[in-house]
Amino acid sequence: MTLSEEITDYITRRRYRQINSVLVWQDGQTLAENYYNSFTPTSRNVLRSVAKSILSLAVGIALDTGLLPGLDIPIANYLPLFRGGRDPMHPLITVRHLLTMTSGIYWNGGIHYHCPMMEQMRRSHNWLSHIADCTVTDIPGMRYNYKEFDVILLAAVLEAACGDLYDFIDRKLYLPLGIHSGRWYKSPCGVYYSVGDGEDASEKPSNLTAREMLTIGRLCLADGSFCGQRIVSETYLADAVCRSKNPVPGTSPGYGYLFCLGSDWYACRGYGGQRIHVFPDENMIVIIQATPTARGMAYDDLIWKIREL
Amino acid sequence: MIHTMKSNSIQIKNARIHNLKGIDVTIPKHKLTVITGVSGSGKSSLAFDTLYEEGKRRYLMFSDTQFMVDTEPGFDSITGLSPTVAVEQRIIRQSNPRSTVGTRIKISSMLAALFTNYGKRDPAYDDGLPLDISMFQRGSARGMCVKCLGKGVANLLGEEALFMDKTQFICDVACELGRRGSTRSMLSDFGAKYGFDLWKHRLSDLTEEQLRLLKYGDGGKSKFPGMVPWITMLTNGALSTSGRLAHLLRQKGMMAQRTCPKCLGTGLGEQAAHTTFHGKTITELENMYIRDLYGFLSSCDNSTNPLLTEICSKLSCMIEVGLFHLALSRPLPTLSGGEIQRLFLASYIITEMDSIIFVFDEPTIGLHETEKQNLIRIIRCLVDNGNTVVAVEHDENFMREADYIIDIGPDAGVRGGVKIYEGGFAEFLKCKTSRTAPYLTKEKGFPIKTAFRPVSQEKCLSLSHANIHNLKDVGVKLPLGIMVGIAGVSGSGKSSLISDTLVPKLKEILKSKCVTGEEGGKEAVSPDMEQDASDISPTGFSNAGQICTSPSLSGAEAIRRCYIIDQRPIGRSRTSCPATYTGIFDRIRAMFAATETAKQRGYTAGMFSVNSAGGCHRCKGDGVIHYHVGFGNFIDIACEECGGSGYLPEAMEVLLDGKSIRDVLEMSVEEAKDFFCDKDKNIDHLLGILVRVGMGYIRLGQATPTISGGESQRIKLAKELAKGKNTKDALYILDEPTTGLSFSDSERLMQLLDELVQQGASIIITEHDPYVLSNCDYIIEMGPGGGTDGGNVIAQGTPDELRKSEKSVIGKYLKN
Repeated sequence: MTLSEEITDYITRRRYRQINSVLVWQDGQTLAENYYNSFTPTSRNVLRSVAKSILSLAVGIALDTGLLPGLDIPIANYLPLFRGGRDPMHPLITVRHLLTMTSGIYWNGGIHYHCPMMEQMRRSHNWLSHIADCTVTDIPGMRYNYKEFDVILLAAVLEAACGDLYDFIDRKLYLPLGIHSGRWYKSPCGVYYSVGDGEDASEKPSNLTAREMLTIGRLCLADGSFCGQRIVSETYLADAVCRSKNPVPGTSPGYGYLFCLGSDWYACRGYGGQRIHVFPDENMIVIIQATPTARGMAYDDLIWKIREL
Repeated sequence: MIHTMKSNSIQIKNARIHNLKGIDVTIPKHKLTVITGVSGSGKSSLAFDTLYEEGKRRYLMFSDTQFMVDTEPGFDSITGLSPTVAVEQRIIRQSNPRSTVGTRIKISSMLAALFTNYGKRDPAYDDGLPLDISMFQRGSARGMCVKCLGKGVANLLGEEALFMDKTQFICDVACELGRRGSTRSMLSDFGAKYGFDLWKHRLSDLTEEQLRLLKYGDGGKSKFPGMVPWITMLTNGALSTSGRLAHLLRQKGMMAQRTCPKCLGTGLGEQAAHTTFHGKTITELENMYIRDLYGFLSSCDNSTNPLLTEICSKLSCMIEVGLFHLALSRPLPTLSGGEIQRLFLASYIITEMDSIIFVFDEPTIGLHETEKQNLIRIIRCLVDNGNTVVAVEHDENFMREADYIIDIGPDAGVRGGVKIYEGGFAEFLKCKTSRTAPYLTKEKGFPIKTAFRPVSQEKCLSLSHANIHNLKDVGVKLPLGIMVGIAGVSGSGKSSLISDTLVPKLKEILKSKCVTGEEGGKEAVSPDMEQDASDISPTGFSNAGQICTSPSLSGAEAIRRCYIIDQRPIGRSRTSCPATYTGIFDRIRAMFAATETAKQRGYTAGMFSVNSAGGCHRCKGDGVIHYHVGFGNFIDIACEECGGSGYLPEAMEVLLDGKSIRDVLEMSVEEAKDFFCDKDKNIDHLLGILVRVGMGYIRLGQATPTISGGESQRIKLAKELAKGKNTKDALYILDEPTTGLSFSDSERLMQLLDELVQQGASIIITEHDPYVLSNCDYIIEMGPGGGTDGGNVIAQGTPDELRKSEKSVIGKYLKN
């Protein structure tokens, strides 16, 4: 059996009906490119939290271009609501805390896009004001707690630092990589959030094809260059996906700057099985796209299977 | 064979569970029957373990929600049963700490539905999307305010006040925070890095930059995060483990508790906080006393609103059972056993069933004499509606109202378990063998004090500006060296005065000289819970934002030791029991380990503990395995592996004077006293005191969850007394210590307390019982009513003086 057949065989046996595309790339070549459920190379699929890693790349670019002076600057410099009037902890929150999910802002789990915290925020007048009202239960930097609020704040900071955030991503990242995305959802109060307002239609424009996701993986694997063009600095990417250099004491060893980290891999992971999975030592990338369901399937076993093959 | 004859009675044949000695009883249906007898005589074994258990089992079997389990029945036959409901205090005490009166009785969700459907939304906060019930529930993540997390109040740290005194040493900032614990080590490292010494330098010695670093930290470079974030975290955030720092800061005016600015005290999210019903938010309604809430809602036009009608009828039931003084937001764990029982009673009245057999466990507990009459009336209503009520009860008036009396006795444990009497009340009075009847006929009257110890003006605790909950700036003198009773109707402010004002003050002043009966000071979990509970209590709200004068206490220096002996459970472990709590279990295990058999086999004391080497592997020492049988019902089946003992067979093979460790744990205190009297002096001494506090009937190994609050209190008291500390100038604070005790046991306990006072101790008792109050030297009565109508001292003096007082409510019930 070819690699492609083995993948299909595995997916069939495990009854992974929601998987739409699987791409395997190694040493400059696409080894397998499988589509299911009438998907094609031009079909677009939701990103979900993969967009977080894209935002991280945007932070790197903003640092490179000097639009952001550093990671340790207080977000209050960009978001006046966080100057301390609402909570004495706010002035301590830095861009790095947002990147590492350690802002300390209260968060009550649940499946994050539809969790009660998000529902309340979406029904509020102003998302940023609502987040600024949320109690801060940990000293910033002390505890990793995966949450949407940090990403929403980061988008607002970037917007304040770089101008229209989507334009910035499109110009500095998508265009050189040849990605043709639609404009991300922007909340009525003016914050970009790729997942949208909870309705499918608002999320749809941010969808990417499997091949577009692959280019992002290749950019990371090539330390920030694509087709000879430097897009994001090597040092930023190294920090973003490196376990050992994690500078904040309270951060999770399994999480970089909005990248998930493993012992010898890193990944952009989105709810429901979206993956840009990079094995740097093997010079290999695996892309998975799937239709998210309420069960929030992950298909990590498929990735380990592919690595074995 | 099918019985076609309609039975007018429940007949129990040969009941023999626990200490019951094969008794036959006939309980008339549709009547009020009281089962009485001394504590431990077997009343509960008959009422709960026989009648209720079997009634429940048959009903569940019939309704097909349960599979049949063959356990050996503790009787030969019971006929005439109908569905049986028990309202037992001890079981329902273990409810979810987050349940409130409103959630338990389901009015909270009905109110939420009322607001969802009929609430008026503030157009400024109306997003056009429909409201949802969970948005009105502060406990739900979708409903809670994200700033105060549903509490309705927020702590506001006063930065200026904190750093105002420039002459203070750095270690003394924020009530000497830097002198202790992790703050101390973090702050000294921080100071070393930035060139200051927390012990030597004053705030005025610091440069502006150093002061800024001290306040706000260095952005994560050092472990110390800065005073402001650190204090915020300790008092408000995830690290908040004790209310102590917050309490100190609040006292010094460095922290204010104010209404949450986001939710305006509602504890709810934006949409819900800005939805009102007749001008009030749901939180405002939940914080009203039930009586006031009923008044408010029934004044709204409810002719077209079935939901409102329903809520009002439920509320009126709650007022009926005497719970008018509670608010729906009141957390269940803060209710007394009597209040919880009446809450359940209310929910049964609400369902309006008939032909049910109700089994009550001392329903009059915690009720003022005036309230008892009302309760008896309600129970009478249940009977008149066609139900059968069986109550285990010691109360005199309740017995007088009963249609039928069953007396079990004559004494406790092995010396009890016999039916002494069954029949009408009038005949009962003639029963010579009963331990109860002579008290009713006044033949063996409860001794009532006639000479009262004089009140000393100098030797007293002087409490002023008590404002918590419904207290109205109360100032009161509590004389020392005598027995002081605190009386008042439910909700009049007795507990607010003693448990919530006096006790915290004493703890603060006396520190380690204050013994609370908690095992190890570190286990201060429940006081924190109370802290939280009081944060969301109705009055916590009404006081939020206002500056109240904090209470002050003087005269505490005359107290050498203070024992706060409350009704909280003894021990927290599921395997804790009187033997482990009082410490005699260690000695018993050591005695087993010292037997020849144990030595030969090399068993250590651990072999004789179910928590250690000796525990059965299957049931983990519980002796039973819990099976969930659907509908929230569990059934316990004796573990097959250990035969229900909880012990490994090896441990059970070791015998001490013919008894295994399990046999010893099965002994009542009285039996154990006979067994150990010539074996171990210490054990004998402690058991002797347990007998004196009226706990002779309790089994050494009785599991904590089955021990009532009153029992817990008496065990704690015995433990403290057994330590043999000098009782001179000691203060004992007790909360209804005779709860659940029969006349003769109460009498013994009162004698013991009187002896303590004789030896120089002071006693403060919160109490309803007229016998106990009549035996105090001095009574302080709170009132006049409950809730908003209470909170004042209405009378004080000797029982004689109160009897004559026009203002006193309890006076006319006091005995002479």
